[in-house]
Amino acid sequence: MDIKARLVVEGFLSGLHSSPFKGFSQEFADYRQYMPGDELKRIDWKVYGRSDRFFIKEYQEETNLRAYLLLDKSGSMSYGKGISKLEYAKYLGASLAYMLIKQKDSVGITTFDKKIEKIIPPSARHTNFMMILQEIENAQAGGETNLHDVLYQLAQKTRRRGLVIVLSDMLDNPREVLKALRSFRYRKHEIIVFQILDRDEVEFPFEESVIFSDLESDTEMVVTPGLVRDRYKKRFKEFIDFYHQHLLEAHIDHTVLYTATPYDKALFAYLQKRARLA
Amino acid sequence: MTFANPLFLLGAALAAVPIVIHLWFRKRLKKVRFSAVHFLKSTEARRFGWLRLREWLILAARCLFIIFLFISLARPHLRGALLGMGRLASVFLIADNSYSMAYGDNFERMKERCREVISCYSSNSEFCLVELGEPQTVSESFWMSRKSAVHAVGETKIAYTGGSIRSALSRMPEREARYAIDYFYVGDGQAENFRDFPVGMGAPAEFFWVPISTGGNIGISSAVLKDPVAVTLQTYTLQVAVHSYAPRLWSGKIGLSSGDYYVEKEYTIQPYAQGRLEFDIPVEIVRGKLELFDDSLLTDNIYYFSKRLPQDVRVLIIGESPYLVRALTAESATTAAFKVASIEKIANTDLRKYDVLILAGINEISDSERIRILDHLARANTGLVVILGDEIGSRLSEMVSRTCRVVGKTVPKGYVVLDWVDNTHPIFDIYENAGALRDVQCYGYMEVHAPDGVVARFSSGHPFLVVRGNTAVITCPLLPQNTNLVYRTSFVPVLLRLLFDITTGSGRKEFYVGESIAPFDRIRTPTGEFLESGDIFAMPGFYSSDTETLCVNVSPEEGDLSTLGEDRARLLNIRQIDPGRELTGTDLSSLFMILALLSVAFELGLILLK
Repeated sequence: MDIKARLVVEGFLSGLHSSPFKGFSQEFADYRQYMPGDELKRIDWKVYGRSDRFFIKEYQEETNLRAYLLLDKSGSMSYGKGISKLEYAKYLGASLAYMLIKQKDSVGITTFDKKIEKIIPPSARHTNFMMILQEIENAQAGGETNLHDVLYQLAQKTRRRGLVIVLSDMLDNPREVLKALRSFRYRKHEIIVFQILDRDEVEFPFEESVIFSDLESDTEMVVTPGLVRDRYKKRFKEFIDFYHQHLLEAHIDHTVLYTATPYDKALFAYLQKRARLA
Repeated sequence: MTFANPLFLLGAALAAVPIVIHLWFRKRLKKVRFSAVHFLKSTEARRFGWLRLREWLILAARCLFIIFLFISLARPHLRGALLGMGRLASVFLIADNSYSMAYGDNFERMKERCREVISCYSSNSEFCLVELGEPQTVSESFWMSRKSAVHAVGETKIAYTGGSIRSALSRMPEREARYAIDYFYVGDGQAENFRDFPVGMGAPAEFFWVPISTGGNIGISSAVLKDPVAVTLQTYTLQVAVHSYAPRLWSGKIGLSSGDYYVEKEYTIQPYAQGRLEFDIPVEIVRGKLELFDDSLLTDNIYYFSKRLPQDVRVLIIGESPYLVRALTAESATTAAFKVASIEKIANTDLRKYDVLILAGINEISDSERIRILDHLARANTGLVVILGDEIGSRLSEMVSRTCRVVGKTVPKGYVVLDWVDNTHPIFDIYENAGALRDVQCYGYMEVHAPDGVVARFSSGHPFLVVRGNTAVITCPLLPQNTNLVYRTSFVPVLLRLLFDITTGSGRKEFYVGESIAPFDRIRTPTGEFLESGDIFAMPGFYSSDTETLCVNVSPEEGDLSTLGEDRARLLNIRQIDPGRELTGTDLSSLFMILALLSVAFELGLILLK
């Protein structure tokens, strides 16, 4: 997992990324006009002496990014042709963790299905990274999905703001999931949602009548795909579009990744987000 | 519900094929583990419910198609009218109640089949029920309702006679039928009933025969005095004719009873044969009952007889004819011969003392004698034999004209011979090949013309013997110089039988059911009721008039149960049917074919309805 993550990340680490969080530090960032409510001690009196105006001096925060990887390992994540959604998510998670560690950012991971399985708090230390990889390595798909509930719980637990990276197929009640993600936003977290899907789930390419067995329950259905394909695809598109539209409205990045999609796309999406934050 | 082709019902088992195919393919479906099943469920739940229902509906439609198709091919028929929507017609129904229907339970089966026919028609149809057996009673003189027709069938009683389909068809109600007429005959189809069935013009366009199966029959046809010449003072021989209309050899017993007297004989008869059985019985027993044991058609197993014996016949010979006197006088004291008297002229003789008068060579009679002779003939059991002489007077000629018309004396060159005799006449039936009068020669005879009744004829074509009713005319004098007949051994027996025949012919004591009771005015039936002139004998048994005891039997023709047969029925344009299956009003095959097609249409609709 470590080697694969290294290979994936190679080429993307060309420099440090700026911390998006401005605050107290030694490195000057910019001036801005004093606003009522600002602390008086932050007024630059030298500027006042020269311009007779109150300016406040802002500094670049030098503390590393605190990233939270949320890995969905529910039963539905086991689906996929060639490579399952969970495997894809695991490689992607490892790659992101590696990239973050390389940038001296803190990174932690939480695995879950219908409940939180394990939490490794963010840390920039290499040993932490190894623990994350170990956890990713051990993650097995199974159990039902209860994504929105898990996200609520994590939002409660994650007090220090940071970057929340969700690796999930998001196959849960989208309205509830959206509410849970908004609760992260309420706590000033930045969020990137990597919705990992298989092409089959979107295109429903089945031809012969088959018995569909649910990966998370005992439900079985005899389906003639030709008769239901159009309606299914329409509904599934509406499902993805709902996420896309409402997540963007909530200032949450939403990237749909297919199991056949190169990891570059995911990493680019991350970097773009990181750049915006900077 | 009945089926005309029930074997087709086996085909309905093919309905299992779609079910098996359905289950087979259902079992072979591949199972796919899928992540977004709840999408299918949530978004398509309603549709999946419908799809599953649709799948089962298609399967049901396919099965029903096969089932309905084969039921239709099996040609189902519903007994009776379906929801009162049976065939609409005027139904002319001939119910065979002739006595042949007394075979087994055929009569009750006939009634049941009549009801079945009626039930195939709608309640708006009209019916006319005619009984086949004479007298052919019509239930009502007008078209009846269905309910009344069923009631009339129940009221039908067995007759002891046969009947004619043609005659029954003439009983059509006067009021015109409201609908097209369906003609039905329900019975055993005795060929005798169809003897004069109309064909071509005047025949029904389609005549349905609802057959009642029947079987073989053994019965007694007649019981006759074997030979009056052979009757002794103690016994006489009764010859019983037995007929077999059965396909198998029959063995049984025939008993003769009269009061306390009873005698029984074993008898065997070949299939489809006629045989004779003789009983030697005391002369005191002149009436009684013959009974055959044991056969299905009971009515002709019993035969009532009442006989007249020769010693009771008194003969008066008028004229000079010693040969006749000698011929009719008994040679043996043990023979029960006629009582013979002879006179030269009638004069004041009381003719009422005699049964048979023989005018032997009398050329003429007076008016009063003619009237007295005619009065004599009007009495029961009397007869007249006229032996024409060389000449004939006008009054005698007029009296003879009841039998034949006298032309005049014919004297051929040489002689003429008798070259034709009616072999079937009773006076010859004791002689095989009718050799009794063969090559008899006659020298001169009186030429007569007779439209019927000629029993023997000369080679010239002129009659020798004419018999009509109780009168016989012989055209040649029975004298040695006129004919060599008097030297023949058959002369006396034939003469005796002739005299016996004409007396018993006019004084019949045995009748058949269906015959008129004339010439009797009033007769007491076996059940104690009285029949008046114009009535007919309605049942077998002993009847009594003022002076006689009469016997009435069923006609032996009715015992012939041979049926019309399919080929002859086809020739007569008669169609055998089973009303429960073939009357179109109750044929459900079309209905099931429509249901089969609807099943196909339903299936196609489901397939197109995604």
